[in-house]
Amino acid sequence: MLYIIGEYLNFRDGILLWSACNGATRRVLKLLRAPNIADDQFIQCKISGCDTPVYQLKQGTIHWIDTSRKETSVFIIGTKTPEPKAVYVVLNADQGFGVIAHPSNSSPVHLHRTSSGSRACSAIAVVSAPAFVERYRYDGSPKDYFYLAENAPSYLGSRNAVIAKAFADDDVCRQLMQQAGWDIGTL
Amino acid sequence: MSWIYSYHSHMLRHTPPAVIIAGDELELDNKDGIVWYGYHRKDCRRILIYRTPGITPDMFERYTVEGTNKPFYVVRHVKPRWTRLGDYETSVFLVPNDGSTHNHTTYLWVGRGPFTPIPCGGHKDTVKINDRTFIDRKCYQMCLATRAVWICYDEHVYEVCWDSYETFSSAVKLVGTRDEIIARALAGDKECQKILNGLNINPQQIP
Repeated sequence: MLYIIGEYLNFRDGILLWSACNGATRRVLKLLRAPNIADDQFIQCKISGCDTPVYQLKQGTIHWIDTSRKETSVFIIGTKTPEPKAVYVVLNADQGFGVIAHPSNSSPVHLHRTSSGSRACSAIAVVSAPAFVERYRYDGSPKDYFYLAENAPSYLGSRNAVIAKAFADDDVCRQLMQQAGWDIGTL
Repeated sequence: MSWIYSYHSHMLRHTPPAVIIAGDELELDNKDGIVWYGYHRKDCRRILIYRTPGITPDMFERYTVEGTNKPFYVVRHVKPRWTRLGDYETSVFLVPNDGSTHNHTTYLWVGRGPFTPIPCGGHKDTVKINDRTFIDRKCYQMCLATRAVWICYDEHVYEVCWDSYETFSSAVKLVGTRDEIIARALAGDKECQKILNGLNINPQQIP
């Protein structure tokens, strides 16, 4: 299963679904599709608790070209069989994000590129589940967190919300708290 | 950024020779006969195309690629001769057909580079000239091919495909962007896969 999370896709421009570049000399990030994938194969889903767009693609795989010419292109290719693992393409055109490994998946990141400008830092990543995504905010305002699970993504909320849920015995939040290495004072 | 141009010559053996010059505007009125050049300084390679006295400006038929303003010229009953002077000069001379056995169409691609010619048919001797000159971060390049060749140049894909003298005006066609070629190749298009191989583009995937 393939998931695209983070930004709305544009199906009107043919193969180019999303692109970002924060300056003429900065890296161009692109998400493209092969001609063997139709619009209706992208199933738009909702994540409870936030309005971040998510698209699900049942039969597809990912290739990418990462050139030294400051261009990163991720291609979604239609396949006859579904991708055996859950793979996420994470997009962000605002301040970027970080990927935190899940205890059962120590190296989830296959590709992570940014286009860093003076006020924004767009990013694209190819991540295999399970993993956590930490979405950055402008001026150091609180980050928020997503859990990219094998079956679907979920929104965990801000750091404080994650910590609160972790203390309430939420396994996923506890794993994130442990992996992120947050320093939490205790008596 | 690269443009990919492809040349497909469905050549008819009985047609007299012609030269297609694509990629840049030509200066046909120069008194010294230089119709195109790519050099700025004495210490850089000079790349030149001459028309010899038998070739007059009115023999150059100018067309533009449909959908773009990319120019190309067709010169009928002409064949090329060329010389390379070490690192200093590459010259192509357009000469009248002398009725010899040479009956090919020849393709010259000129303009701002760098670009990469890729023989479509896999013939190693397709590209006779592929010279560049770099001046102040600018690059000029000339490629001379005798058979079908793709040229990766900037962001789009063009194709030259002609069957006879009557179809010369549509000899160069816009095929798509570089991204489209990659996307088609990944979706299984054999011809686009050849271009990718020729460009040494190897898309990565999840192991």
